[in-house]
Parts: sequence; structure tokens; C-alpha cells
Amino acid sequence: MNPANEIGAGAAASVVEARDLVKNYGDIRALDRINLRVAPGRIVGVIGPNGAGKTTALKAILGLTPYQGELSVLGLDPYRERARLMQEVCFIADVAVMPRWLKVADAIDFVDGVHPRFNRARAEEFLARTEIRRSARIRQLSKGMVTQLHLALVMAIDARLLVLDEPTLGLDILYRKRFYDTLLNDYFNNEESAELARTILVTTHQVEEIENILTDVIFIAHGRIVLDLPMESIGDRFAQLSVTAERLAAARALRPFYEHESIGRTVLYYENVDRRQLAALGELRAPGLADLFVAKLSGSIAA
Amino acid sequence: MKTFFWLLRREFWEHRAIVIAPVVTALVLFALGAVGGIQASEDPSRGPEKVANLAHLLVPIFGSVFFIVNGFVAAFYLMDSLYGERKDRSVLFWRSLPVSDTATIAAKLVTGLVLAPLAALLIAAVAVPLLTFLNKLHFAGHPYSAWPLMWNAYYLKDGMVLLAYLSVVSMFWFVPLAGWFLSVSAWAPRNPFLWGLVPPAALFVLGKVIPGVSWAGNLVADRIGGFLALSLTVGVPGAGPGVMEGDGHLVVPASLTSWMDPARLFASPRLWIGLVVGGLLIFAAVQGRRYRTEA
Repeated sequence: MNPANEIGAGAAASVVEARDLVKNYGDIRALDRINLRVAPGRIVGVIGPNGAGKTTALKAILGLTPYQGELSVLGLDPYRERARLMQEVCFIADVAVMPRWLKVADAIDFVDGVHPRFNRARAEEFLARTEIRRSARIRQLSKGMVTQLHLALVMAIDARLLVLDEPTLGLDILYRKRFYDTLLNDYFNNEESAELARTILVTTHQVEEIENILTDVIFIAHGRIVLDLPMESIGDRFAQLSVTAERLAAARALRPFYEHESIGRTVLYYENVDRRQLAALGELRAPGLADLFVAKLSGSIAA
Repeated sequence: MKTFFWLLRREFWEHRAIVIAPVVTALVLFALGAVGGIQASEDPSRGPEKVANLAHLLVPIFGSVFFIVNGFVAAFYLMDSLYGERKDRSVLFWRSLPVSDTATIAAKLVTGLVLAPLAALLIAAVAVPLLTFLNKLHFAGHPYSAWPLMWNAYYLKDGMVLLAYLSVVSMFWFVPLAGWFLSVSAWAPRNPFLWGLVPPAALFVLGKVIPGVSWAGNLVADRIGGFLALSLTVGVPGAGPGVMEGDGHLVVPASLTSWMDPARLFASPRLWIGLVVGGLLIFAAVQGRRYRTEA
């Protein structure tokens, strides 16, 4: 076994570990002392408004940008050891990053030539299910096809971490749905060849689309992590309460962190408040990710 | 090694001009060469000896056209190579593969500095003999047949060896220029061609215009053509026959290869200083690719 194939064997405890991660662009602080730990086998959604630092965080994790603070990905320093790290990490940004002049067949040949963990047969098999012509140049493909091609290449790489930055941006709904279906069925569930669990880190604006595939969620705003939770504990920790006007005062007394009007009722959001107390006041449910995101961020901006 | 092979192939997929340019050059020369041949045959002032002498220099003359065209192609290739991938953001794809920036830039350097001139040389090696043949074909009716001239090693082999020699020594000489173009390509916020060409051109013009800084102009000129005087004995007094005698009569040296003088070039500190500066510039390009992924 050559040592490059045993990357991070001693650091299997966490896939990504960041301590006091800071990144400045001139006077602008894009990442403000981020602390982060991603365990293997998780599907983590990184959600935040534009300019919140999501992409910067992913870039730091991929070794695409220098940073201050401590960051370890699969036990490696991503900026210094990017080439080694990329044996184990795959990355899909939005569709624009595949070189437009490249032919589909050449793209497969190239990745096959440079990537020790690329399984050509798997890529071919995946591609055969699409309408992509092998002789086409990437500039001739539709956005959806380019994403399918990139996904075919990535699916065929036996990697431990997959990073997706707005992977479905600009795609129509059919391709978006197919993208995440493929991701779950072919990538995440394919444990036969991977000894170690695969991890996915994904950012997107389409929160609803990934809500039910995530195992963990991270909210980022102003370069800081506002929330970092496993999905299953959202219901325990947060509550969304819908009340009529006469109960509003009582509901407010329980200190919601955010509220908004909704067709004659007021919807209030609570964190760590006794559910039995809340249930007595109105309709209680676990907030959806999109609602929670708006509530949490509006709350934090107001505060 | 396998990775490096694919990195080189990638450069040829992307920059087909490296091969297309010398082919187009050959086609243009074929067209011009045929015309020139006809005119020469109609010029009564040219005696057969003079024609033979001229034919002798056809190989280096045609060859140098390939050489100059390749210089432009390689310069623009190098200036575009790292900027282009930032501009279309494909750098995010390339850098998501387990290939180091050093290997990537080494592949670009080898492509621009070694493989591009090699491709030009190979195409020239096919085209130039055909060109000299075409030019002399018009004298086929003459008592001096084209065929002995054509197959005389004196013309073809020596001429091609001289071209190959110049290609190889220029690879060493052009390392600092290549390093400059690569680091401009890696760091330029936009328009790498302006960043790459305007500073040297400005230096050159300043050197010509302001008497005190003529060294600046000389520096630029030396970095482009300086290797010729260092690696060839042409024009060096007493070093052997030149091209022209005082009366404008063509004088052919016993062998074109007798012009080659690599020892003087490799003994020159100018070459070694250039290699060191080139190395630093290439290092800067590697740092630029790591640091400036976000264009």
C-alpha cells in the first residue's frame, strides 16, 4: 500500500475539523472564528444568505483559499496538501466549472489518467443512462447534461467526502430532482466498495429540496455559525407556534425569538421552551428548515 | 509519470494552435514559395551558382519562419494558460483533481518551452525539404538539376540540424521569458496579454528614447534574440565563413553546422542568470495558482 492511499487513516474520528477558522478579504471578514466538526457518514447542509461565508468555508475545506486558524480535512491541511486530499475528496460547484472546450470522451480519459481512485466502468455505466454523446464538447451540452457528466465522473471516484456548492444552480426542476436522487441512490448508499462511510457537504438556496436528505444542518450568517444541529434534534429544540390574537400576549410571554403575521394569526418561534406550555396556546409543530432559517437569521440580525 | 502524460495531452486538447499554427505556416510558405520560385526562374541576372547558393540558405530561412511563428504561439499560449482557466472558472474543476499545482505548471512550461517548438520543428522538417524542392523544381529544366541539390546532405541535413540546434538552445534561453509569461498568467487580475507584453515593450522603448537607460532596451532585446549571437559563430570575426562577403556576394560555409557553438552559450553568465530568474518566476506562478483560484 502506498502511503497516499491511507490518507487520514488515523483521523477517521472526524472528516472536517475547524477551530477558529478566519478568512478576511481585505477589510471584509468572510469567516469569523468558525468552529466546526463533521463526523463521517453525515450529509450536512450548509445554509446561509448570499455573502454569509458558505462558499468561502467550502473553499477553505477544499484547499482553494488560504485561511487563518486550524483546519483539518481527513487529517490533512487542505491548503498545503490539496493534491493529496483530492484523492479522497470530490467537488462539484455549479455547472459553469467544467471546461467548455473539453470533449466528453477526453474528460473521462483525463480523470481516468490522473485519478487513482477513478472507476472508469462505473462512469461509463452512469453516462450510458444519459443522452450525453461521447464525442460532444461540453459547450454543446445543456446545463443539466453538464451536471450529469460531472456527477458521472464524481460518482465513479471512490472518495470519502463530497463537497457540493450550489450544485443545481440554474437547472430545471427535473434535473434538480434527478441530481439528488442519483446522489442518494448511487453515491451515498453505495457502501460495497467504500470501507469508510461517505460524507457529503452541500450548500444550496433551495432549502426545501435537500431538507429531507440531510442528517445535519449548519446555518451561517455574517461569517459565523448560527446553528449546528442534527436534523432529528430540530423538533426537540425548536417549536413553531401559530396563535390567534387573544393568545398572542401569553405566547409572547414565553419569549419567542421571532414572529411573523400569517393570515390573521401570528406565528412564533421558540427555542428550548417546554412544548406542553406552548401546545396549550395554539397550533404547535416542528418548523421546516426554510422557516427556521428565516426565523433564526431574522432573529439574529435583529439581535 | 502517467499523470504528467495526461497533463500534456490536456494542453494539446485545449490549445490546438500549437499544432495548427506551424501547419498553417507551412501552407502559407508553400503558396509563397511556389510564387517566389517562378519569379526566380524568370530573373536573368541570377546565374545558376547564385541560385544554388540561395537554395542552400533556403532551409535556415524557411526554418526561421517556423521558429518565429512558434515564438508568438508559445508566448500567447503561456500567457493564456493559467489566466484562461481562472476566467472560465474551470480551475475549480482542475484543482478538484489530485494533481499538484507544481505538476500542472510544469506541464504548461514543458508544453510551451519544449513541445511547441518540437512540434514546429517536426512540421518544419517535413515542410522545409518540400519547400526547397518546390523552389528548385522551376530550375528542373536547367542544366543544374534540382535533385542532386535536393538530396545533398549539405543543404537539407545541415540546415535541419542547425534548426534543431537553435530550437534546443533557445529552450534554455527562453526559460525566464516563459517564467514571466506564466507568472503574469497566474497573477494578472485581467488581460494577461497586456500585463505580459506592455512592461517589456515599455522598457524597450524607454531604452531607445532615453539615452541613460539604454541598458533597459538592450536587456529586453537580449532576452529575446541574445542567444543567437551567443550560440552561433555567424558574424564573429575570424570564427568561420559568414553569409555575405563585402561585395554582397553569397558565400557558403563548408557546413552550416560549423556555425554552432554551444560551449560559448553555456559558459555565459547571461544564460545562468536567466535560468535562476526564470526559476523564481515559475515558483511565483505556482504560488499564484494556489493563491488566486478566485479570479
